[in-house]
Amino acid sequence: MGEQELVEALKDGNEAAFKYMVTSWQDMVYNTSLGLVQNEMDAEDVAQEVFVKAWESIGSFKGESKLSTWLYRITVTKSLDYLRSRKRKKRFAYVQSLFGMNDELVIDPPDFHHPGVVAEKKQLSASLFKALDLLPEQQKAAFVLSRIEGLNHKEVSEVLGTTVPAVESLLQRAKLNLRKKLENTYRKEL
Amino acid sequence: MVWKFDKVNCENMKNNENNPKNGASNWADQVLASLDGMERVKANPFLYTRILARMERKMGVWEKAAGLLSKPAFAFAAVFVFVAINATVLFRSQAEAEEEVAKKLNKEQMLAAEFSNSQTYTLVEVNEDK
Repeated sequence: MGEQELVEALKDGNEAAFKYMVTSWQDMVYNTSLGLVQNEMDAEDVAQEVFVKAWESIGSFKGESKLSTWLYRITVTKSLDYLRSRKRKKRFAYVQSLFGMNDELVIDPPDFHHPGVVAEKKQLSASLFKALDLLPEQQKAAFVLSRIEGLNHKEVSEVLGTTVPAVESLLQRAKLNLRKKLENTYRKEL
Repeated sequence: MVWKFDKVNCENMKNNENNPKNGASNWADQVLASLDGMERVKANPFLYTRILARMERKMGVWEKAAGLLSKPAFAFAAVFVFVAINATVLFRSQAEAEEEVAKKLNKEQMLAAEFSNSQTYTLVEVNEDK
């Protein structure tokens, strides 16, 4: 099925077309979301949200970009929204605990071990994901799309709605910040 | 924040290099390269079914809302509340308007009373006095 045909079928509310879209791009959406939210259950939740959103707003898809680019864009937006809401909840729970309104302890989540990383590098990659979580949103998204999803700079720029030089700059700053954070960790721990 | 990392690797680097700056830099290089060769993770094979269930739940909420709105009892209650709110606002504004008119009249009457109390003389009366 060609992409144009698929989009037309989706706009007509064809369920078979929707199933085809989900099965074709579910791994891509899930993997991107997992890189950003760093939790398997949350990533699946975000992936579901992405496809529901895509189904609801396919009417607004003008075909100016590829369908996969559009899905990537929804995935990044939904994942970053999710991270923001998680941060808000954590902050609220912390404030509540300060005033004794919440007896539950505010604990940091355990290290994230990405299931796609080769076994001998899992521990090292956990440190990377921890540092990645501290990056600004745009740098984080550019890094995940480029290093985890393997998109080239042009594709990343299309997803993030920016230019190729801007993506290069984002990635350079992301790597620099990650290096700084990792070196500080190394010095603190040894 | 507690950072956990590969202590074995760090220990090795520490032993191999005397310069801690190089050790940190090498470790950071290793960590940054840890994503090399990673594979794309597969989504849950039941993702499509779960998406459908989620959409049904979402549709269910809207359908419930629509069903509730279409019930005669709910519709009558909604109309009654609407009319009651409108009537209250109308009566209240009317009462306020009447009160304002009464105040204005009262002021005018007081002013009139003040003028009627003061003595007025006509020119003829003044001349007669003389």
